[in-house]
Amino acid sequence: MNKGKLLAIFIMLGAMCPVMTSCFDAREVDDMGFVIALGLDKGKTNALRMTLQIAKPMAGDNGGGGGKDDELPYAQFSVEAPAIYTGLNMINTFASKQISLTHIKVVVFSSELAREGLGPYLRAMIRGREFRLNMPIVVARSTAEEYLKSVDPKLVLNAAKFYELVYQSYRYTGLIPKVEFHDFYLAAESNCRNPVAILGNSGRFLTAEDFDIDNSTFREHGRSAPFEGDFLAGDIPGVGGARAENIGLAVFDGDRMVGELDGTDTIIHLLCTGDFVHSYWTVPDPLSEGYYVLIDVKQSRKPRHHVEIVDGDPVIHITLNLEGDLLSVQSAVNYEVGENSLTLESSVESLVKEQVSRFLDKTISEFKSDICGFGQHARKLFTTWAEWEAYQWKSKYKDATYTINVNFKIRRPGLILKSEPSISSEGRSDDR
Amino acid sequence: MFGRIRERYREAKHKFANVRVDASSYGPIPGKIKAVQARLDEIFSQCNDLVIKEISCGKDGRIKILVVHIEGIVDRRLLNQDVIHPILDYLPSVQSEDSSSIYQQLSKCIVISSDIKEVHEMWQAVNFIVSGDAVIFIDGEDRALVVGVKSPEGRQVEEPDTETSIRGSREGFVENLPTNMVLIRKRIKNPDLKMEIMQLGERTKTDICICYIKGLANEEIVREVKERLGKINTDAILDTGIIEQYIADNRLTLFPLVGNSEKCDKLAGKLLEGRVAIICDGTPYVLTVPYLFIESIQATDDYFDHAFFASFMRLLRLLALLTSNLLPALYVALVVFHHTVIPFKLMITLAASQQGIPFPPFIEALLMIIAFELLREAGVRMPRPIGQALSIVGAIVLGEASVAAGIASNLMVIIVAITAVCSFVVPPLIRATMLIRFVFLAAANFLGFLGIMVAVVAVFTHLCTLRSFGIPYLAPFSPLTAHDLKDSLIMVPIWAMITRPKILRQQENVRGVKGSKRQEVDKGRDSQKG
Repeated sequence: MNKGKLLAIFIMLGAMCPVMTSCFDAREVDDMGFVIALGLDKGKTNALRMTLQIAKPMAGDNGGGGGKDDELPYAQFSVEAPAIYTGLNMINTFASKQISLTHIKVVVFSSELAREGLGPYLRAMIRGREFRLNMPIVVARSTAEEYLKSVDPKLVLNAAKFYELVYQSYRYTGLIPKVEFHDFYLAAESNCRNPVAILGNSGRFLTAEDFDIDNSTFREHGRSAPFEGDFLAGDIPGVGGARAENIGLAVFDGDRMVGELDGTDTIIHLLCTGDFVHSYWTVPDPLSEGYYVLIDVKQSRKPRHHVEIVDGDPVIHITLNLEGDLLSVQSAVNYEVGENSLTLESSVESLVKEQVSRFLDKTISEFKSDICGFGQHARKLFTTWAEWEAYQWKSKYKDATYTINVNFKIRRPGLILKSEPSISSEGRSDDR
Repeated sequence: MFGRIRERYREAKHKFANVRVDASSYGPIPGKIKAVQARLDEIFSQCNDLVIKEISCGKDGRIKILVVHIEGIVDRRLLNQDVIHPILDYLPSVQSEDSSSIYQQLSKCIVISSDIKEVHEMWQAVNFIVSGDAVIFIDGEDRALVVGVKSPEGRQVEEPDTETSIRGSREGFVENLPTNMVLIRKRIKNPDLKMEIMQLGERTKTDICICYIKGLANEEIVREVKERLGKINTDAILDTGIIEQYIADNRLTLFPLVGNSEKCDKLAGKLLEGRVAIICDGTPYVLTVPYLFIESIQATDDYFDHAFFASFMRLLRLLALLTSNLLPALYVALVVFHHTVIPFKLMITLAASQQGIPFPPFIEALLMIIAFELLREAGVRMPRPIGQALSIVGAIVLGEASVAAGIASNLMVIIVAITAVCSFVVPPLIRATMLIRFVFLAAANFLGFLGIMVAVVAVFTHLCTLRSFGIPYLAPFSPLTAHDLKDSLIMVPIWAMITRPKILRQQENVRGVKGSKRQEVDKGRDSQKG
């Protein structure tokens, strides 16, 4: 064999190498185990107990290749480790596929861990490029492991889809806050606002016979029976679907959790931050006692915030602009027109004002945490950043006072243009 | 290795130079008819299709005339009617002893054909004989008469199979050069339409026609075309494809630098834009130069339809072009490197479909693409009657069995199928796409998106360096010529396209007059009234 031929063969073989082997970090999708949820608890034997849900590959049409009906579409792993990445290493010793966090949908912290401070974990997650910046943060009232275990998605075959949908429900219920990891991190590091997390827990009730409302917060709100938002996660009297419940928010001060708020307060939080989209509200009928009016409430425009510093203490002015469509008028009072509608509007306005002031009192005096980000509107009062830092907004927030202004308008009466009482053999129902 | 190839090439060149026919060795036409006959016998030895008819005339039949032609390629009826009959009828009455006067009479009065030429050299006479004309030699004359009696026989003008269109003419070119010239002339009735004929190929003596519109085509390009054609030094021109390879600016590129078409209306359009056409006898494919990249995604139908549809179709073709080049590469890059950008639900499905496949995605893609190319090639080469067998095998093997056998994933079959469909949308680039696809695929397997980007940049750089007869290939995009964008991806309506593309540098740039659209005409009329 002559030299030229030999050279040509070597060149060809060399050129084929990259093509046949591809790059060193090439991984095929089926070689990877994709984590869809990560739960962090305090460990028994070590600092952390990590719980990972890893999706099982499933073919498109047969409804989950991994799963027959009773089989879960994911595999759950737990491990105790000193830190997140250490735990991933350890799980790789008994999970056959390489763990990848690139498609993680949610991170769940236990409230125990959250009350100690999430700083170390947040910093690890923001640095690691695998964590998605838009994933929600959940605080489980019991343990993250239990919360994840109770996610048994009955309605969607895919657990990832379940997480994607369930944490978007603030758009139509308002009962959970809008949380993204990136924003959470920034708020925790910020000197003008504090983060919140979604409050989650596995449901307390296994059957309808066990239902009770002992833990409901309706008395705090001055009601005789619980409304839809008067619960903390885990206390809702309901069964079916996934047992993991998400309602309310976890209040943080910096990276430490300082308290919990129920669903009703979460709606107010969304209203104050401007993230509220729409939800159904139950309003006591102002003209007919014992009946309720149901209204689909939207923001007609974003809330207006104005902050002043009076004698060194912040004064916060909030204007909320809301509008609503009538969904149901139980009492058959004609709220569609005239005086009645104005009465209903002012009744809603005073109700909202009352709820907001209760909510703000709670954040100011109980939690001392500016979770609505009023500090962001106070910054402009200072000429330099040094002055603003010296003011120490977060510590001054506890001395804040506020004024609230609510504008509420009824826009559409739905498909009924005029409410009329029903008529029976005993006459019109409102004569009875 | 390369040294040896070079050596062989040199040998072949040497050999070829030796066998080349030296035209001038035939010498002038000898004055004596005996010598002529001897020369013809010598030149056409073993050519049993040569017909030499001897006619005696003049006083006492002393002057002999030879009518020479080749059987079959002359129109027998025309030959008899125009040449043989008149000679036999009239010559006995000519009682001249002077061969030159007989020659004069023959050429002026007797032979009725409109196509009579005079030749002096033997090689010229031979050329005409082999290309289907009849040549008349007269004893005592060192010149000969050529009578054009070529048989127009050949395929009928019909719709070309390779280029079908929904609107527009159904006429396609045929193998016969004069017919093709007529087809063009029928569409452009103007003396400015120039058709210059030359012969190429030492052995085949193929007639080539350079066709352009004087005043529209850039003189420099016409000159360049003639020069490049003149430089072709080969013994055989069997198709315009051979000419194309000789005259292309860059001989190593995968992209077509010379356009070709079988459609008369398309060619007329190109000529009217200022392009130069090269027609070759024996092939229905006509070349057009210069050829720009944008022409690949233009179709004749575009100009006959509303600009909205045309623009949409052009964007669609561009999309198809990109898809057919990049789709397998993107898929491999996604599956091998960039799991992050795949929607989660799709990825779970992907992982499931990849699970049973023994090959890495790159090899899988390679196998499927090669299988498809094989099917396509088989479809072209095989005899028509067994086509059905192939399509059944193709559909079952590629579509069903490979997935069932676990050689390829469902998704890969879909990817290759989409790629294949898209590649047929832009016919001029099918072959370029076929090869470049592999480059992208390898780059994707090696470096993911980055690799694809590198390959795309490399291909674009290459495209930017290309020129077709001096015109930048990517015009009007690079260099950006705003004026010419009206007929690029987004097409303006035909009534707004009143100037020709500037990039071709025609002498006369205006196509029509502004305001020839109906509303505008009406408006003009109204304002006149007012």
